[in-house]
Amino acid sequence: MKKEEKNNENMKGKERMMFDEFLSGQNRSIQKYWKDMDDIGRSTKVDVDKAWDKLYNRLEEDKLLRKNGVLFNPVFRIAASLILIFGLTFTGLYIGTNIFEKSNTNTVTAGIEQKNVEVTLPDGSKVFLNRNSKIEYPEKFSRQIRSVKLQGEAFFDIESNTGRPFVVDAGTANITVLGTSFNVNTGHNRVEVFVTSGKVMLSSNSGNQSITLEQGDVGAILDNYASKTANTDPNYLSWKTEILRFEGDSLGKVLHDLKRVHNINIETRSEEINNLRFTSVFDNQSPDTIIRIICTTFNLEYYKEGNIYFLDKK
Amino acid sequence: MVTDRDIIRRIRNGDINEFENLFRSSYNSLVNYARTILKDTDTSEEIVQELFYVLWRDRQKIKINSSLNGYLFRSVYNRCLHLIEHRKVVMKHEIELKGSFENPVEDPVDEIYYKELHEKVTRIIERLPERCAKIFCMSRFDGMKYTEIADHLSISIKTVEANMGKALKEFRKELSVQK
Repeated sequence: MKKEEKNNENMKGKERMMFDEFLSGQNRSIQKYWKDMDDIGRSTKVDVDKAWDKLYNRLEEDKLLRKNGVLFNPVFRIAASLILIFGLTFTGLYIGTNIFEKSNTNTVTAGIEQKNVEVTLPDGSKVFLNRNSKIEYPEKFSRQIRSVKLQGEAFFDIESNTGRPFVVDAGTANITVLGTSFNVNTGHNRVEVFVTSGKVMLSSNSGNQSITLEQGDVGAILDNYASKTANTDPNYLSWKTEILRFEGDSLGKVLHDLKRVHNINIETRSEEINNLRFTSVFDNQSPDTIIRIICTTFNLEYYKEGNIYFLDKK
Repeated sequence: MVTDRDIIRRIRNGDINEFENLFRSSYNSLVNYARTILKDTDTSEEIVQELFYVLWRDRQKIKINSSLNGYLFRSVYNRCLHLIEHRKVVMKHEIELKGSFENPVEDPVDEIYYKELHEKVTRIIERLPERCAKIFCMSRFDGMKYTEIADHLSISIKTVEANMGKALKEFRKELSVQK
């Protein structure tokens, strides 16, 4: 009776009937094989609890579990730290799991030669790291909050989730958003945020200073004091876009932006050069090309020593 | 729905709970599957235990290209074949030592045929979409009813039926291909 019930249960569906029909037309071996499979599936089940205990004990015995595993072996820890330090210093970009933290934290570091390193967070949000910057984020965000840690500069494009705020821990300040895009720059006890879309809340770490920023605003926290201005710099995000726009700007500002975007050093021989006014748009051009264009425009000459450009009148 | 990729990533990161979930949800059907090949429960359990042991130990290195379920079944299959080959060698030695020429293995024609069938079944499980393979294995190797599968996966019986239909269609296609 029981078997019949089961058969009826499993016989449902056109495909199942077609299959049975097909099976009856097959040779003895296939039929037997299929029946064996059926019988085995129906026979007594194995003891999964017991099996798991057995495996778990074996893993524990062989020190393959985290509690007393290889991660806590002192020799391994020293070796790992050295590898970590060398990795950070020489390879520039280090992507991996921070093995010293209990919760699984991912760390991505952009080295001195790398800017615009794209990171996709567990919720699909995108982060673009400028050079010399580092972001830490959990393997999986908690239900209540999406929280990351930033050092340096990064552009955030955050997936909207009104039920789960996104918080950037930028050292001396926190940035809280629901879903928007913005740039965060940290350094010298100053945290600066530029909002490109949506709304952002910027608050000092102590929590007693807090401002709301909207599209186009630049907010800053310096020494626990919050300020807000409208952004007037078209090149604020040039480190990411590689587009530089100048409209009658002083050459001083032009050179300053070039330094920031391309990580080069530029020295001028006189203050007079810095005060020249320049108008142009550069889109993805190399620093060499840009410097050459500037020199041609103002009848200057330059020479290069290592990473430093020297500009002088002809 | 939690995808295979999520599970693999968590296990890679040392999530023992996720690993335990995977073990508990697939152990029975993998053991039964091994039993269709080896006809012996203890050895089948050993093989699956060993597979999970290695899976955890080498979790950082292992590359999984098919669905997780497909990967597990394929691994069990390979391990079973390996064991059978090993046994044959041992047996050959024993026969030589004892000077006996009795052949205790089953009909060799049947054996080759079965090997081919096992290979086909494994290939299909590997090729089926994640959920489809899971449902198929639950039905075939865990002996679960459609209603039980539906409950277990929080899906409708219709979905279970549809997926089983899909799986059986694949089997029909594959098994009717004559070599």
